[in-house]
Amino acid sequence: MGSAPETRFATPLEPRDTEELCRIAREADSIVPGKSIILSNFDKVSEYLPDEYTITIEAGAKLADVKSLLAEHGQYLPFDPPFASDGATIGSLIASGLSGPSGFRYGILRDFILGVTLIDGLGNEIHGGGKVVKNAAGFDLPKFVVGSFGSCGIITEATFKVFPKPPASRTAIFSYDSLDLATSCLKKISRSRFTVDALELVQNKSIHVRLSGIQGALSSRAEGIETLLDREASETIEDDDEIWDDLREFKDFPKEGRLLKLPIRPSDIPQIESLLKGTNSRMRYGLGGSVAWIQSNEEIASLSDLFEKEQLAAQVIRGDCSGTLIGSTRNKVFHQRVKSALDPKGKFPNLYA
Amino acid sequence: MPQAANKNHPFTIALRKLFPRDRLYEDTPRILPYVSDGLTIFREFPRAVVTPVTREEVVAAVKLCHEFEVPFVARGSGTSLSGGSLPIKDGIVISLNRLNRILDIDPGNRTATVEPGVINSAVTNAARPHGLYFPPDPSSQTVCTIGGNLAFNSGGAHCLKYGMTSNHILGITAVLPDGEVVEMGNASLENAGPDGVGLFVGSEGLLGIALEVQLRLTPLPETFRTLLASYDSLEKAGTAVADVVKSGILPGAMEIMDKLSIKAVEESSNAGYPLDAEGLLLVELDGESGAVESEFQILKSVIEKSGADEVRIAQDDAERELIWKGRKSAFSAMGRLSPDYIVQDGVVPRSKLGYALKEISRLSKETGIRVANVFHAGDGNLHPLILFDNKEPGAFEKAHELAGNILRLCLRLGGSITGEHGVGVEKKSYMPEMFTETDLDAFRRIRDAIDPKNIANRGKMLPGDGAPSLTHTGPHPLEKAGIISRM
Repeated sequence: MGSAPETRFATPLEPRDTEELCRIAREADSIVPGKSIILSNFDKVSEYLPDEYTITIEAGAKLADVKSLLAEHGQYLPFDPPFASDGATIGSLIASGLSGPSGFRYGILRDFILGVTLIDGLGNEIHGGGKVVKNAAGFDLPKFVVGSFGSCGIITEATFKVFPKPPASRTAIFSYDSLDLATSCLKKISRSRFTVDALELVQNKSIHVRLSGIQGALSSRAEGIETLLDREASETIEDDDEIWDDLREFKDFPKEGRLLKLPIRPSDIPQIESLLKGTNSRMRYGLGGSVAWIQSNEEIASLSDLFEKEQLAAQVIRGDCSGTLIGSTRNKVFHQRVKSALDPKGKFPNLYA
Repeated sequence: MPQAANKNHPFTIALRKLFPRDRLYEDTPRILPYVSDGLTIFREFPRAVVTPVTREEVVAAVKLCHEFEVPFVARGSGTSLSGGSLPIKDGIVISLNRLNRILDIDPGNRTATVEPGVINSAVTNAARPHGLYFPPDPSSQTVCTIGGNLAFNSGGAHCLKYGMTSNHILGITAVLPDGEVVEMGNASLENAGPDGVGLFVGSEGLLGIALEVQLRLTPLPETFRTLLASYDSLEKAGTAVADVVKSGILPGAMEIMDKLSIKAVEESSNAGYPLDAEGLLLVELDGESGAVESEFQILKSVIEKSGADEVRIAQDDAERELIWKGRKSAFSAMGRLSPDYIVQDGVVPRSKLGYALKEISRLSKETGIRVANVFHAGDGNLHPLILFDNKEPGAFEKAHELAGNILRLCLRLGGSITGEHGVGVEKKSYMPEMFTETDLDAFRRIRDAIDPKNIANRGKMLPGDGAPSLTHTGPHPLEKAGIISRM
């Protein structure tokens, strides 16, 4: 290791074990988890208990491997995390706080993380949460590190709740002429008695609805949605994995450039559309209209101004400046105070510009 | 008792300027209802109780506490079973029951915005006309408040499928213990950046007071199918739960009661439970009728093979309600069996339920203390009710020791000391057995960063600071010192 801070992590460090990782965290002046430190040696599934619906995984384990392991037991991560095919690790997944389309049914990543082990800025190994599906003891650190992009410490292990994977699924696509009609259809399904797996507004006027469960009931359920909308689906797809793989993995967006996550309410959609008009951005609305995924080549500062005016906050999740929080700073005070406790010397990245 | 010396303390004088006499209690008769919560064995007199009616009054009270370093306890309906809202000597209680407005129900976005003193079931009552509801359903839901649910991350019978309170809170506006008003989260299901809501929920009042809360509403299930199966052993009921889980269906609720609980419930609410059963399993499916009907066929065949003596299926809403009424009244029904009881809510991995129950029964026999079991089997959340008579010398200490041994059993099996009641004052002394000293130090650093003067609900959750915690080997140290006493 060199002595100057700027050259110290020129090549990422790959600590062998927790002890070495803690020592690095204690001694380093600056740490960017996932960049200056790589947890390639923390790649094991520590404990998988299918009957308990729980899995404990080291942060360097590949999401793709975890998904295959769960699938062997007929289970899955219900928050439907993306980027498995891009080599995402469990640690990067938690740090970037990403959930996929099926998060609509049971909840997003923060709803399924039960426990976490973190190396903080003092080089201490700390545990939050537990390994059972229900726990109310201590501060809920596991939720706080979701979306933290390494700003509060280095995640080394996490426990998730998993569910049995529904045996079958079906997708109905409803196409509309206008965004307004599509949005009102989205809201109608969202608050209906239908428990849909995924509900996305794609290319501004096409609603993708995914149903899952026991095969025999799917046809009548799909018909029920048609009755609700008083409209026949423009397309119904039984073998629908590919459609959702593409949406989850953002295949509808160019891979280059910046991807942003903007939490919204379904009723905000028209406003987002007009806000970003003429900014060289592409949008897709996921989780029943609770998130806008935005691919944009616009200057980050001007996007931030636009969001700020509307009291919206977004996070860059891929590309240049990943992790950065832009727009409204309404959550900043609480976040910075907690960060100051976990990272008193300011070694980890600061997410606010 | 309130100290006479407090009467002319500058803090008290300032407090009187903030609150009119009818909303500032300094006299024993009006303070008395606040001296303890659902954990009635302990009580403590605060120096005063204030009942703000606006968020500005809450903030002003907190700022004053901060200025004078006076500890405060925010309190809703006081249903905490862990002593979470036990007052602090020389501190004040900020009672939030009058901040009870539902500010907005937004069916299109499926959200509700409420003040902290709103009663849990009032949210569902307001949302139901829109086909929506608020899923967290602690047994006390008709009296407990959203603020209390939020502070203790309350659970209920439907957590396996629907999660706990935390999973249904989207945004919080809160006053931190130094008087700063902050926002966490937003009105969306998603977040940008670290999840402050996640950390604040379940922080047991240590990080401040929620002033306004945005809740996620869920569409009412179209249909329910509720089934009751009786077994000649608790173990068989436990195995049936594991079988249901293995079948791949995800019930909304799975509850088990033992013979003693069944007896208590039947005597008090006539739910029609079979009195000769050693174990009673309640399973409920909810959702779209088409899906639920198919799943119910699978459930029935699993239960048929599980060695049940009798299976009853609720035929209509009235029967379903009766079945649930019995379950939800289980705690209050214990009064029929015993003058006093301690209830714990430790969690064990579901597959260890059978073993845990056998161990509890062994401990019960060894000590001669009766233990009734009623629990959320789907998520391994035990509720042993340890029965004792406080009039018998030493009975409480023995019961408390047994309770401690049950918590240790949960930890030994890889579980948690609390699934939904929180740590409060009651389980503080077990925190070092679940978390390392380094973990607890990190918790303290977070608390100190938010509350440098340690005035918010001081003495709860974190061991070793503020009021000493309950110990399992005798009277509470404060009790020994004559500072607090049992009701």
